[in-house]
Amino acid sequence: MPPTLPVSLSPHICVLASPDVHELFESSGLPPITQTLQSFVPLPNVTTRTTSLTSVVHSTFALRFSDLVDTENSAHEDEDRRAARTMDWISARVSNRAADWVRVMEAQASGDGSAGGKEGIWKEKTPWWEELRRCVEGDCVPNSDEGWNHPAAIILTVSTRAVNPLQALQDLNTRPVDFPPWVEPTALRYYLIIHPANSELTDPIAEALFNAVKKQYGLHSYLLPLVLPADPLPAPVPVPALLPRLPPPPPPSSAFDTPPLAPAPTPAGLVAPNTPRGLMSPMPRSPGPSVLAPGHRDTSSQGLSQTSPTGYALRLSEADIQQTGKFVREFVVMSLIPWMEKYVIDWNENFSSSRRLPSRLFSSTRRLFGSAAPSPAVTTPSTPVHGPNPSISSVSSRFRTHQTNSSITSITSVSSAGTLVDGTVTQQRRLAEFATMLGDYKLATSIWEALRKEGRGGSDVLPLLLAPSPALSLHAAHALAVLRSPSNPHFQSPGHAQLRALSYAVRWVTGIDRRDFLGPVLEGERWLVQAAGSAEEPPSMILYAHAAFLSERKNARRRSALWYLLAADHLEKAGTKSLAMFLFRRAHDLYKSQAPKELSPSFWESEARDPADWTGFPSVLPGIEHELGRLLYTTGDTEGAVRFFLGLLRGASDPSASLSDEDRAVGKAAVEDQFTTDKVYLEDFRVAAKHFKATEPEKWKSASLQLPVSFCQPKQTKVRFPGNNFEGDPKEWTRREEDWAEFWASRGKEKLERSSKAAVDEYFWVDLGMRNPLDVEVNLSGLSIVVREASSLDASSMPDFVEVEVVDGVTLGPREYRTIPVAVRCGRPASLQITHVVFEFLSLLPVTESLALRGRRLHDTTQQRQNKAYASDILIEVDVEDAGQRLRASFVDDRHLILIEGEYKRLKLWMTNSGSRPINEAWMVSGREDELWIDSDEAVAEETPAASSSQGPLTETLDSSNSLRRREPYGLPLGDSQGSSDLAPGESMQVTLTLHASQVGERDLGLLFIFREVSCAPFWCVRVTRPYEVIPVFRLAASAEPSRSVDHSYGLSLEVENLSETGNLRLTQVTTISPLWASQSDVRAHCSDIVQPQQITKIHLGIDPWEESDGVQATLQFVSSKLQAVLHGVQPDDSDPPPLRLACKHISKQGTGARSLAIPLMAHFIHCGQRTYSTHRAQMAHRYIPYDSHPRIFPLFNPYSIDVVLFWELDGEGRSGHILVPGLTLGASHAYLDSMIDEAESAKVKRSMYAETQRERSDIIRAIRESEWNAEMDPTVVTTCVKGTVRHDFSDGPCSVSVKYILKNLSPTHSSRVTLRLAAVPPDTETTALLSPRYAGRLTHRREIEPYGTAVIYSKVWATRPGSFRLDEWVAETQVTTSGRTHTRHLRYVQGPPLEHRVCFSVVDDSRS
Amino acid sequence: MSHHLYLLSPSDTPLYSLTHYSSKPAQTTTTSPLASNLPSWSTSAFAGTLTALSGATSATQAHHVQGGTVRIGGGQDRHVIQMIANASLDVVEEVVRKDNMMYLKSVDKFNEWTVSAFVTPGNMKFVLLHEARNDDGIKSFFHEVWELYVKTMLNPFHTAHTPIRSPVFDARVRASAKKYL
Repeated sequence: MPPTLPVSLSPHICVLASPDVHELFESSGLPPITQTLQSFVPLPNVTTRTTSLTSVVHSTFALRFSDLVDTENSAHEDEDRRAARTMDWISARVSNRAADWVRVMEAQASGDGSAGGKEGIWKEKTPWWEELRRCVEGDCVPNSDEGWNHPAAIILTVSTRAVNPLQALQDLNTRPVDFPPWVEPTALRYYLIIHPANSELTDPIAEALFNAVKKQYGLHSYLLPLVLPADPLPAPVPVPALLPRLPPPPPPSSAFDTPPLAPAPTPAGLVAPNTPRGLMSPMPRSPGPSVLAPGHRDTSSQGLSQTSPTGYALRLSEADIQQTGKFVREFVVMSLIPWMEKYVIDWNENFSSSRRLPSRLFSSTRRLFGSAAPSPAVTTPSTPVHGPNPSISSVSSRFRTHQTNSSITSITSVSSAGTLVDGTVTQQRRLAEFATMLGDYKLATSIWEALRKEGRGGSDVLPLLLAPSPALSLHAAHALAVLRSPSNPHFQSPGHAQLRALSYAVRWVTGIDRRDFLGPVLEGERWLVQAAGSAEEPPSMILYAHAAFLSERKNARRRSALWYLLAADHLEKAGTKSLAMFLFRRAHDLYKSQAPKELSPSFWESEARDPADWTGFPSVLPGIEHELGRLLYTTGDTEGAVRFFLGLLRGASDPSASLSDEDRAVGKAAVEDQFTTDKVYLEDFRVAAKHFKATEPEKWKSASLQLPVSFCQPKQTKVRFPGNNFEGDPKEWTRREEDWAEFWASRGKEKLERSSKAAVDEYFWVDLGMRNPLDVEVNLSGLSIVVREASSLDASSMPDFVEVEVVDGVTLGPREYRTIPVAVRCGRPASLQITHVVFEFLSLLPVTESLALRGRRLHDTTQQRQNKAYASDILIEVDVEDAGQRLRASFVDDRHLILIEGEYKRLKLWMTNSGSRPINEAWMVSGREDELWIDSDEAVAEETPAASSSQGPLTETLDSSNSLRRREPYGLPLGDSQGSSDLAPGESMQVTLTLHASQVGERDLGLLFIFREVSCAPFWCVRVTRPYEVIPVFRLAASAEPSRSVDHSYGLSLEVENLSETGNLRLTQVTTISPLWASQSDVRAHCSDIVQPQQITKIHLGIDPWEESDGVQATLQFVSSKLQAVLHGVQPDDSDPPPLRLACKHISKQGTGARSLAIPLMAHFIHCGQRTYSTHRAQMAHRYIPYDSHPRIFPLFNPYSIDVVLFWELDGEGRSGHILVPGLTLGASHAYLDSMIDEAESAKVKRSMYAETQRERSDIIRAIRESEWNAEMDPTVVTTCVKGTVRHDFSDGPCSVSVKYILKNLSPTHSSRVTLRLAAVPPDTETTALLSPRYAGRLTHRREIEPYGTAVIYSKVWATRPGSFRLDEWVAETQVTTSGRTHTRHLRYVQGPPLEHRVCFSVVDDSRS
Repeated sequence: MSHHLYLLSPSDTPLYSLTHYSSKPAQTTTTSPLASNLPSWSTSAFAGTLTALSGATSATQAHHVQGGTVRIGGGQDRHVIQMIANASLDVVEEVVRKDNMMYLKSVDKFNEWTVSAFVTPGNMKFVLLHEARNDDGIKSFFHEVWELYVKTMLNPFHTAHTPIRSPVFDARVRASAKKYL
């Protein structure tokens, strides 16, 4: 059973009828004769014979009838133009019907029952494809590429109603066939006489006429008697629908808008004589059936009924149907098929003879392999079936060659002489086509193969004939490639190539069995895509759509989605919007609905993900949805468009992903792309929404559109109260609160109330964290919040006593985050909940976003643990209460401060009781390192005279608590001049602070004011911040070393470098502070006046022990006992260090008064500065001791330390200040903690299993051993005194020089025993050029020296000759008297002469002079 | 000459994507006059393999590569590129079902785009859209990307669902693309 060929591959029969035939059919209410005859095909059970005389039974045998005149006219039209016209015609048909089709398809998709079974047919095919198929199949105009449409037979028809039927037939016969020269002339001529019942001729005469015709024209003639009743018309008989045909071209006169190529390129010599149109019916024949049942007529003009196979009917009586059927069958079986068979045999002979060599090869191979494969050289007896017939080579007036000789060679000569202009339709091709039509597929295949190898076509037909194999795909691809290759004569005309590709595709789809076509071998749907190629016309797009449809059937949904998308994209551009929209929706649906994946369920469960929230490629859905939205908008469905556009405003879900998506090499452009898509979406939304709102306000209201993204960040949203001005570092504030809590813990149980309540009639702010998720600037208007009372049941309405600010015109840049405060004021005490934020997106779309945060995850029950359960949402809540306790504090001067290092700055604070109750108690907590002093009136009064007293004491004594404890909060004096002790509501007061800018850099002065009404009431607080900047002015370097002179114990040198650019900085005073040392005041002259910018001044001070020192030993004992506790791992007790007296020595320029340190302000600042330094130092040295316990362990002052305070003034500006230089430690100490540490080390160690603990312990011990409290040094300083130059008369003998050794004990606490050995060579003395003298007398001297004591040793040296002598041959051994120590180790030191202080003397001989 | 690489999780979610513009010249630059009439996104590329069968020596390959102009940078067409990558998964899955190769060369074609794929044993799919044939280079490229991906997966916080945002990974893939494509 051969495959059923597509209709377009059936023989084309042209009918040339005389005018009376047309009249006859018209008068009988029948369609033209071609259409009437067309209704009788395809014929069932037709048998043909192959060249090997095998019978082939065709279950159906199709024919195509067309009017010769119409075909001739059409064939003369330029092919390219015709192709273009065909494409337009198909496009027009598709676009006209698309809306109806889409409606039906949608009804079917939605499972609409009313649609009934009729639409069920579209489950397996699509109406647009059917339409395209019919349009392409219906094309029967010959073209130069292939011979399928070249007429196989011409039926000349007359009726007996003609005046002279014989003459009419003669006229028709002699009429030249007006085809272009490339149309294959070989066609069967057939003569048909219609004998209607109402004819004037009687039946015998008609019979005689037929015999005459037979005699004249041969056996290919027929007499068709018909009844043709005129009235009443017989019942309509349904017939298959006719295929639509391209309407005839418009007359050239009206075709001024056609392309300039319009005139058909007919060579002048071949101009066909004008067909006598007058002979024919003047009525223009429409391509559609002219006579139809009235009911059908309207519907057939458009839409579905035309595509329905039962849409046509023929009003013909049963007898006529029988007669006509008989004629058609006889025509095919008796004339057409034998004629074609004959030609197949003849041409095959011709073909095989032309390829003898290959045929021999083929036959030999066949012999060799015994293959029964068909060969084109199958030699069959060339016996014609019907015997020799003179008319077999259809007589034509134009083609004389055929008329005169019927030999085969003549046919060869015709075909080889160029039946074709382009040489495409050769005899060989015709042979292949005939063989194909007749079902001789073996022969046809071999010839098509031969043609293909010569590059002359055939690839398009082979897939129809061969069994499925991968080669077929290549055949198809090749056929299409050839069409588009530049070697194609129609290369310059893409329209023609497209039309051909279209017809190939249609043939493949209809001619190949669907299962094979879609099977994995052929993958036919890809052929369609290839056929559509790059074209953009709707017919090609329908190929895409059909390919997508077939892929969908094959369950290749993703590929289907792609092809649907492409088809829709171009159909939309071509204007077929309804169909485009339908296809877009299909693509959208197919893309969204993922095919089930064969993945383990744990793939999803392991990450707790839902397979349903698959996202896929990020740009696909927006791309499709945007197109859909635009289509909806242009088709008038504004609401749908707005919904789609709104859905697109998602922003990139995750900016970093999109960043990685973009090519950073080409980065910017790509980022801009992203930027523009959001911009485009937003702009489209704005336009569509504006239109929607303006035109359909009711729908707009009821649409309840939701923005897919949220702007508000509930987590970042906070409530801010006026007192809780959280500027600056929150940690700093927490520290202040801790300080306060620690301070108050010992005094009472009252807590500091978190000020989380707003006051009635006072503004508080909701700081909304707003983030723009889009990559485009947006503006929000009417930004506000929804507040409701917590107790009220009505959640929707705003309480009327709450006043909420509305912020307008907020513009957020792309991806910008901003905090937008919204002020709220409440009229009475209430508990408020802030539930939502509301705004209008782009001033168009009202948006409400919830401010609720998801509650915590619940873990209480098994159920909750196994599933995710969360507590109820958390809303922002605000309690509004009566403003009972309110204090408002602010700096009077709010400007940015720039201070000089160490400057005193007066700051004024204004404090107002804004509450309704009086404030009785107020405290101020400042930062731990801030140096602040609250000026009371008395203090100011006291300070002024102190500063002015020019004869101020040069030595002062300060009593220090010596405690490292934090400063207590300042109690603020409340009350006024009236004597009331509280701050009444509405009253204000001013607090003056003096700030000492001790720390360089940008700083914040943050003050926490704590207040309450009466005792036992809870405390409230308010925060004030003032930033300031401190610039450095001096670089200070202080150093001290044991003095070589007898006058002082130590020499202290201070280097002051002025860093500032501006000059006029004057050092007014230098003060030393120490518990143990005092500077000598007689060096005041050294204190220079003005330090020039970038200059250095040096100040030298002599330091001596202070006689009145007190408490030094007690302090050392305190530290030692505390550290002992630490070493034993015991919590040190809570005792404070003993107080200490400090000696302050002022050195100032003469004539100016010294600034006293005894006034509370200065004492406070010094104390603060020293505390900051000591705290830092202790923290640096003892990391493993908790910082909180430092005040209990370490004192403020190291007793051995000496601090220098430098006072400066800025001339003319009245600015002054001081800089504290702490950290110098003088005097010898003697490893005070040594015994304790040794004890701790040698104590039985509790071994810990943790190495970390051991390490920490050893670190603690090491830190203590290396700390300043355990320092030790050699207390002895040896100073050698000798006269520099000695004159001696050596004639008197050797010279004796006396040398004085001064031994000083620098230890303030211990006496020491010093042994000075003279003339002993110290180990590290290198020999120099200097002479060494000879010592005389005792060489070993022993002395016991008291603390601070001095011993003098005299000795003599002998110089035997003049010269320079050195005095460095001595060693001093010191043993510290350790009476109080129960120590096994004696502190012993050995020292030699210091290298840098070499003592020399010269002896000059006097005798010569 | 642009290349589009997508790393797809077993659930076909893109975890990483890269657009690489190759500086190498297009291999066939026969610009056909027909190409100028056609939209830039679709030119026939099917003729490439047909020479052997067709026997037509004169048939010039309709392989239109338009002078290496950057055609699809993104914007409206990015979704088409992604659709092509997505559509090729149909074939990739089919091929994977049949044989267990990791490197599937030229598994699918769409107009000028050829799709090559690489399926790791963990069912990660690497899909590369390219225009010119470069089987060996693409294979080496895929192997490098695979190695980089395996290194990324060594991160215990990285799962088969996690989008890859590591700048190191990105830089290395780019370097590899530069080397091979």
